[in-house]
Amino acid sequence: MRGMLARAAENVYWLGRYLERAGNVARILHVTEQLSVELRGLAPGLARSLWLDLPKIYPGAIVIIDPNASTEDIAKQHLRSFLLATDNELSIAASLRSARENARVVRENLTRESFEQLNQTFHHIQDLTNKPLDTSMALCDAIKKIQVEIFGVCGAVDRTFARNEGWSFLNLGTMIERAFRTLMLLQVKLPTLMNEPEAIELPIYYAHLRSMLRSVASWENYRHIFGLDLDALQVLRFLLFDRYTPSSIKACVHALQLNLNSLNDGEIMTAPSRMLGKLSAKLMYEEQEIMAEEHLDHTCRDLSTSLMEVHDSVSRLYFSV
Amino acid sequence: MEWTHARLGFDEAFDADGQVRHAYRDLIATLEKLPTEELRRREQLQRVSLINQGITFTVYGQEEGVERIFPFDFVPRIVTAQEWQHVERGLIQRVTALNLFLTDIYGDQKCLRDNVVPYDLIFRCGEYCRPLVGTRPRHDIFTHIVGTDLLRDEVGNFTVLEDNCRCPSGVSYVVENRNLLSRVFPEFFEDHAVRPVDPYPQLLREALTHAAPRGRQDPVVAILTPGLHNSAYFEHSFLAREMGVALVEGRDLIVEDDQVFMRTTRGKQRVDVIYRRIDDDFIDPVVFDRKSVLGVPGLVHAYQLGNVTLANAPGAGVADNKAIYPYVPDIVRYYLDEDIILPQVKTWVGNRPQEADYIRQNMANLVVKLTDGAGGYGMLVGPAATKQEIAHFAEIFNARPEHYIAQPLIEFSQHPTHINDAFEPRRVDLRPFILYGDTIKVLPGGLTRVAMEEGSYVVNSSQGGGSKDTWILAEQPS
Repeated sequence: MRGMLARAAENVYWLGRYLERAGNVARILHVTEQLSVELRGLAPGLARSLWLDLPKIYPGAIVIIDPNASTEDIAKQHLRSFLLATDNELSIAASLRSARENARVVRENLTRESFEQLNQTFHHIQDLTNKPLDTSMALCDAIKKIQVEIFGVCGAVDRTFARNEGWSFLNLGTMIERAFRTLMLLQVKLPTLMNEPEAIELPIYYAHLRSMLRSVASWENYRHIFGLDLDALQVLRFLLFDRYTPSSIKACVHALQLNLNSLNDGEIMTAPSRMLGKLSAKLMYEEQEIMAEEHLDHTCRDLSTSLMEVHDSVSRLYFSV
Repeated sequence: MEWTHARLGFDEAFDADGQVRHAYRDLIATLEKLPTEELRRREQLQRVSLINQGITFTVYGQEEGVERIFPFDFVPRIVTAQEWQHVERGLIQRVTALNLFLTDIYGDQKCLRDNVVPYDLIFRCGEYCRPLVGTRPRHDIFTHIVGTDLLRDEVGNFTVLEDNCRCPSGVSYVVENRNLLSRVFPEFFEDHAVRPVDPYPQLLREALTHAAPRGRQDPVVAILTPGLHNSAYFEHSFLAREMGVALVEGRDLIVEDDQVFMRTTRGKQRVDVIYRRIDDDFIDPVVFDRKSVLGVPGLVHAYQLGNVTLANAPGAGVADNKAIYPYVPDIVRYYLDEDIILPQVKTWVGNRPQEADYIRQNMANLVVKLTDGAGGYGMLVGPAATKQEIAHFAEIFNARPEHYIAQPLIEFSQHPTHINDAFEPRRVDLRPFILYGDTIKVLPGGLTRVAMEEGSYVVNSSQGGGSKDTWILAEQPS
């Protein structure tokens, strides 16, 4: 069986990561703005801290803010930076630019429809840099539109990409990025969430949990199972161990295993397969122990580290031939 | 609708009396029915389509963000079946002769002994690769892909301006221009039997597979590109996608035991045929430019041993060197015992002292070109140059006249082109693509490049030129 060009596999992998990242950022910006507006009157400090959490969820993000600015201005600065800033490598514009660069390099592996959708989205976000977008509402509208377009790109890719090696690498990139971002979100939000509900007002506590679930597109999925029963530990357990919600760690690890298996033809146990096997077993058999741990944020950090090791191992095995 | 006819040169759509030529009647009638607003709308549609599809090229020497769309004019250029038959015969003759010439100069060198082409011309030619003397490519084919630039002279005869035997580019625009035109102006095609151009990738793959090293079943073909920042990268990826082959860079290839492998996710995989879109100079740092990071060390040796096919073969550039061009009619006569079918432009060679004098004295009336130049760079268009420019160029010429040729300025043909809501004549050339596989095949189409500026003779994309769809009409059953 002929293999895929190693460099092309790496580009497809990163295409998956950048597309996922762009979609994630768009979603979290939108959710943060909604919650921040909701809380501005009730809990101004919390409303402000929601924005200041963003660079922690996206380490390496550069957001220049005026510390004396109002919460609304802080919001605008973050929205603009994470939407358009070229010096913020984690902005949607930067992710789409990188996704497109990777797609251009492996264009022969993509269908015309996929490339066109991505290219069109890239040009739209470039056009936005020339528009005033001087209010949070204008920025949010633009983000919403771009988010819909990113869905269009992912849809085109999903419907047309051949289910070959390239598809597996694309999914590996997507899933690692998704799992990593869920874990970063948990790490940053856990200290607030693990406070007793009494420590903050109950409606705020619920709004916080709801928005966290929405940040990883899991709110409706959660409700289907638990109805209106919102509890921090339950949300945490859901985002770590639910097998069916696409952003949960267990679901991501499962998808990673499937894609790695298809690359190996199920025959050889490679280094990243072994790593994922261990991770999967931990999530399968140690749920109670993990949930009983005192420092769950440390657990999330360890899981992130494991995922980064999987990334390194995939890179060594497949991209550095 | 306003149509301006060409005052100089041959007008492709209108005859000397201003009457619409037969081949253009239906097209112009269709265009006349489309209101200005509608033409504008569709022009905008085609521009957006080109941007969204990323059909771009890169211009060198500019800052980042150098991707540009290749301006496309929607008025197609029409070549009748009869005209094309003549062009096709001429191109097949030319490519046949040039390959015999290349086989000879890298083999017995009979043509040199018989004084068909001067020894010194060959040995001074930068594209002549001495280490490859004695190497015979598979089936003696050096030029698997050729793009020959044609002009129509004052009376409409197709005339060869130059051959491109190294890495001719532009064929992706031939195919994409057709796709675009059929989407944006479907009504154009209703009354015309236009020969398709989309089989090109299939024909190219067949030609490359035919050239595979002896004994290789189901050969692996790859396209070698300098990378994303090359001006023709879109074309490289287009061809890889359409042929279903890998698009590799030098760093993806490795030579071991004189065989070429690409680095894949399943380890090293042997490559049999490389359609290289990198010039000789950069293809192998062992043989050519030592500083090249684009090439693959050991590649040329693997080629010499017949373990890999390089298309086009290294050293093939001699055949399109501008100093060789004046000798092509003699080359055709020598190898094929035929007169050349497609005429050439009268050329003075700086290598001959008498002709160099002529060039010096008539620079203001001539087009002077570097023998190894391309892309419209390093040339002087005398009639369009200022006195200072001519004086400056004369100094450069005098320093090494043997590196220049000169030709009269050809009043090449003009074609109606949509400019600012009117149809104005603009100069056009034509680059057909010729593939050499089991037989020589000419794609029924070609890249028509158009000088978008009024009065301009420069059609190069790097200097503001655009392109048109080129229609070769099918022969109508009588």
